[in-house]
Amino acid sequence: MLFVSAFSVSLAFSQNAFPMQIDTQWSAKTIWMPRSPFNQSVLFVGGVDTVATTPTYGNPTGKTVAKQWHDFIGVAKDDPNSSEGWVIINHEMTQKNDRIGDGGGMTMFKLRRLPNDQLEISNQTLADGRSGKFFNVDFANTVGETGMNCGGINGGNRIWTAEEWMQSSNLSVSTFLRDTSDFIIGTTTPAGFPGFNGKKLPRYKNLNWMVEIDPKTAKAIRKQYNWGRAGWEGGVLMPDKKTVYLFEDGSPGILAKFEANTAGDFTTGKLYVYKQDAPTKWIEIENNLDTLSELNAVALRRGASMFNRLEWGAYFNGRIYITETGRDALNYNSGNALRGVVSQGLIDGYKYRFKLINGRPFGGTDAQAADSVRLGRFADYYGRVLEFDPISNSIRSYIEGGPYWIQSGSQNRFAYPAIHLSNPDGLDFMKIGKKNYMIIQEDLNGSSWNRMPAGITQTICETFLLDMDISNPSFKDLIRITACAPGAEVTGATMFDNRTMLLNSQHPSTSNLFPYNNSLTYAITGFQDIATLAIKNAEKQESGFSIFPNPAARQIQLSEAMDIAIYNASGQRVKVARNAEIIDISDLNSGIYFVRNNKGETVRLVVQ
Amino acid sequence: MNKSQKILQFTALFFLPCIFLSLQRQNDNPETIISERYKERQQQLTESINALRVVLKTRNKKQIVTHYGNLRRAFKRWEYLAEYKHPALFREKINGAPLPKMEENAFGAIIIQPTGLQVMDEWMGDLNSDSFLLKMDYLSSNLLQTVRQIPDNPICYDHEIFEAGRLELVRLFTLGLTGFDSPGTLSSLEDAKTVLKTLNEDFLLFLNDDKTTGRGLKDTILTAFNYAEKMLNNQRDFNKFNRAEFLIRVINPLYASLLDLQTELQIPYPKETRSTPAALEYKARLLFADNFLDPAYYSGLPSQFRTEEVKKLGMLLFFDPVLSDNNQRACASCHKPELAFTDGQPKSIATGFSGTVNRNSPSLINCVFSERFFHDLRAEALEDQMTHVIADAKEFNTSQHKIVEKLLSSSEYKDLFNKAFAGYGTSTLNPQTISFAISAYVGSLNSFNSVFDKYARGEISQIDDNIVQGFNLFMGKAACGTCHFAPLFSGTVPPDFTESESEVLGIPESWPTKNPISDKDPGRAGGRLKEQVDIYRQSFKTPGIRNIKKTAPYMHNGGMKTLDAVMDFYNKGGGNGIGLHFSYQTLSSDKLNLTKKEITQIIAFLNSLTDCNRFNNKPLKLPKFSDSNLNTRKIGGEY
Repeated sequence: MLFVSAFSVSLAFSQNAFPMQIDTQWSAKTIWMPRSPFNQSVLFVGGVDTVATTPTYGNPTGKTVAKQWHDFIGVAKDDPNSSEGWVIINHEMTQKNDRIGDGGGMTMFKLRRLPNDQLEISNQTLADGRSGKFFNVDFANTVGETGMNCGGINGGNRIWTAEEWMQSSNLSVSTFLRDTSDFIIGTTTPAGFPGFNGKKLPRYKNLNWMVEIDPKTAKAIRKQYNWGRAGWEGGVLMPDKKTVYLFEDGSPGILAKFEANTAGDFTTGKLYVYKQDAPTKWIEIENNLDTLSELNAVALRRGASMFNRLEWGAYFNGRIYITETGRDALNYNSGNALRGVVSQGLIDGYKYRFKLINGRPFGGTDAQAADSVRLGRFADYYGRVLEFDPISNSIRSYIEGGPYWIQSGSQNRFAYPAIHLSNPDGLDFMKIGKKNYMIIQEDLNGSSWNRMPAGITQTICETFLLDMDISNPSFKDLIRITACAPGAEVTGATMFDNRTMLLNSQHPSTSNLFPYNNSLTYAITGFQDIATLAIKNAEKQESGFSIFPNPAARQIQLSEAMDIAIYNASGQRVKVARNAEIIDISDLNSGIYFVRNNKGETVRLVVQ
Repeated sequence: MNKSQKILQFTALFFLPCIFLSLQRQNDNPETIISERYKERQQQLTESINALRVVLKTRNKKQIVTHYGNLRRAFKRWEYLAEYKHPALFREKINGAPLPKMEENAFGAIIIQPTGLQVMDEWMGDLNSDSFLLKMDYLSSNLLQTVRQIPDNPICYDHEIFEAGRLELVRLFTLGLTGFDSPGTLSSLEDAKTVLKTLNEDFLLFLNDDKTTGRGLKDTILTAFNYAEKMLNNQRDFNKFNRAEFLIRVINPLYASLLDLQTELQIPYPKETRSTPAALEYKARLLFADNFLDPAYYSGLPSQFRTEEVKKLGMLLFFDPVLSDNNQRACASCHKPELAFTDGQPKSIATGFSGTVNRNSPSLINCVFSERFFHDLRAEALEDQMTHVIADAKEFNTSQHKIVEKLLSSSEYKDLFNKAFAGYGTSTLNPQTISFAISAYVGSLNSFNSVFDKYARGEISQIDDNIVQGFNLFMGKAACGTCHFAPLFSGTVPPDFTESESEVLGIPESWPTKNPISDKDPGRAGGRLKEQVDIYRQSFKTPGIRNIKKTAPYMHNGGMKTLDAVMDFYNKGGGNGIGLHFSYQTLSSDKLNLTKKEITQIIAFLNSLTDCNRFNNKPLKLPKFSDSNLNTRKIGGEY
């Protein structure tokens, strides 16, 4: 037996280990891969489904095809435990549209989960008389046009949308806005903003705010001028209904906080930006429209903490978790960045990478690490998830992306890792049984370095779950959820209720199979029906050639890394994996297959 | 001690002889040897960059040239496997085009200055410039830093070696021999020698099996490598090198027989080792084969709808003016089959016959092989492209919604959609299925069967020598092939053909003319919101030039009536060459110094790329509507 196993080391490198055709006559040990416990249902397809529109630009109320580029998903409910709620989809785009309104926008629909877990989109008639299933959120007639609606804030029964892609002149907005005249605050209904009514903004400066919308009437309520104008991407509304944290997608980007005077009323209060070396860790920003409309520059000049592209965040168990998506070309050694301070998350990340690459801990002080980051010595192409403690006002790296290439001292040949976290972007929490999981969604901003395997030029973004009971987690603890269609770029993952995850497939590759070649919103149910262990990597109990099916992740796990080939029922080779422990078989149709290792041992695999 | 070490130790104690046996077999294995070579090659590259950095300090130009040559050779040995493994890193930091680019998927419009070997090569062509030493020092330091971070000990699997090797043949022919990747030194021929020598020594390791000689594979492969060596030794002049002969005698046999060898050795194909789609059809045997690229990768058409029925429906829709608001304009109004799907106008006539649309109508033949659409690259996919035409007041002046409502009033159309899209869901006639159908038709308008294609595939050997000379000029001295990449001769970038390029040529309103005036169209900078940056001002998509004989007038504004005018414009160095001022012109402003005869030869080559007659079919009748006024509409529209 051992003789065979030792000899097989050589066969592992032989070209003929896996003939293109094998004989399948003889019977073998059978492994069953049960059906996925997950159910997917498509809810809303951009460019296909129609939305009911308000009278806009002289056109009467009517219907038109919904916008595309789905991003953030907002869910508003009267009662958090209800199985019924309003779902709002961001459209991260700009386009002239004489029915929906120019720029970007949002689409609203009312969703209900039936007792059998089927999802139903309700017919509605809104207060303004519009009726149907899908409704565009009216910005043009309420708060002025919007654009590039990326992230947002889910605040129980309230929703804000973030206007990304900083606008710098009326010339640049004229490609998607027909009206580039000055915007006067308070002249549209309901709009208006205490203290700013009557003030004029050049049209391009009426973009890049957080905007509150009313999910039930599908109308925007107000642009949140008092929270400042910046490259906002996400935010978190705290349970006290007074405090809001805001995240800027910039490099350097800032972290801000708004404290309302009265719970639930966000028109008056105080705005702060985070500065880790300030006595209170926050610096107050005056409520002046000129200051507010250039918030990033003002904050940096006053020494704010600098982040490398903050994206989305969520509140869990007293802490706030924020994705810092990362950026390769990080350099804070010029302009306003010279005045800011390098955030602790980047210092943590720099030290983490230094240790991995050099095989020894970074010997210097945090200040020295910060200097290295500032000078561009940190190729932060993976990013991280940050943890912010609102009591101590401290921030740290919670989980680093990776793995980094390790050049020196490695005897083993470099093989592409099975699990890999790059550029975390979307973030939310879910509960399965008694366990809490962080949902992390990637949005790769490049495929260089180690972010994609050899020979692949596209980027593929994955969705992961992270068990929140794990202390000091690393990317190795992530559980990949293949149900989230890795072929499409998936964003917006949020829980509609504890049984239903909502997701958006955004600007998918057009070569994906239908319907994933469209921007669309879909739901996954079935999380509650799987044992917690079932979605984790199977526990390995045997050595040698054993296969462990993982129906939820649609992958098979091998007892140890090896070369294998998968053959179909007629004995034709359909898949070959080298030096692999986990093999994704989500693309295999149901049927009988044969899995063969490089010793010629074969196991029958029945995919249901 | 981890588990595998434990096992190894245990086994070693008792079965030492076995281990020796297996290790020996393992070391003989091509994978192992090539992985080891990869490591040596990367180390040699690092050493050669260091050596160059040392001589840069001596300021001795002659030595710098020598050491730069060494560096290029080391780089070209490492290239085929390394670029296969790290395509994005090569594009961004190692050997990307020497032009500023936008940061990918960034939070704002961020311009990245180019770095890497191609930028160094440009400076090597400008040795006497004041900043030469400074720039070379900076660039070589960057390159060193990047290369040092790449693991030098990856496993090179057999299937990777074959994929990388075949990809390198495409790269060599399209980017190497054209001078694309040595813009300053034009060291294409020297580079080619190194590349082929490297491939030769690596693939030799796979040729020991008796099976391969039986089929003459070994002979074919070694003959091709030897022929390449002979050609490259005999002709060292970049301008005179016979690229057509090289294609037929070297690239073609190697590209096909490496595939055969892979099949022979039962080494897995890409579709077995990964699930991501690729633009290259791996089983294509030749660069100019009609299946070299997979249209399905580009079209976005779901596989279940790639049927004759859907395509036929798409053809009806393409010629049906009912899609436009006034029922007079069809897709075919601006894309006429007999003109290779252009309309012969400088700019297409606008709705209402008053004025024109903004730009020249591009040919649709092979248009599917693009990452993005329109002259300004603003649309992501064919179906996205249509929505712009539908909404434009000067074109269809309607909406997807109105089109659906209109088509639903024809029971004949309803039937056709029901049949073509059976199983789509509750409604088979919707904006998506309309665009699927039109995409299916437009995506089928592919031509790789011109006289030149047949010659390039070796199907015919007799061809006018002017065509061959024209091709050699196109791919060499005239530098056309550095933007109009073979075999599409479009701006879809090899070797993976997934990205569409645009260029700033410095186009005048018209040419030739005494006092040229710069065209004011902002181009790509006026397209996508995220691309409103100076480097894309007046930048336009590099179109395919197949069927160019039929597609006059030329350029995005139709400002050049003949191919002579176009060639004259390029020969003078584009906009900056004819006295205009374009700060971000990407076309070299230097004269090409093409003679009249050479220009005639290039045009003879261009004219040999015509193959569009088989698309002349039009529908004989259009579906009926209940509104009888609609039934008098003209096939292909009034425009």
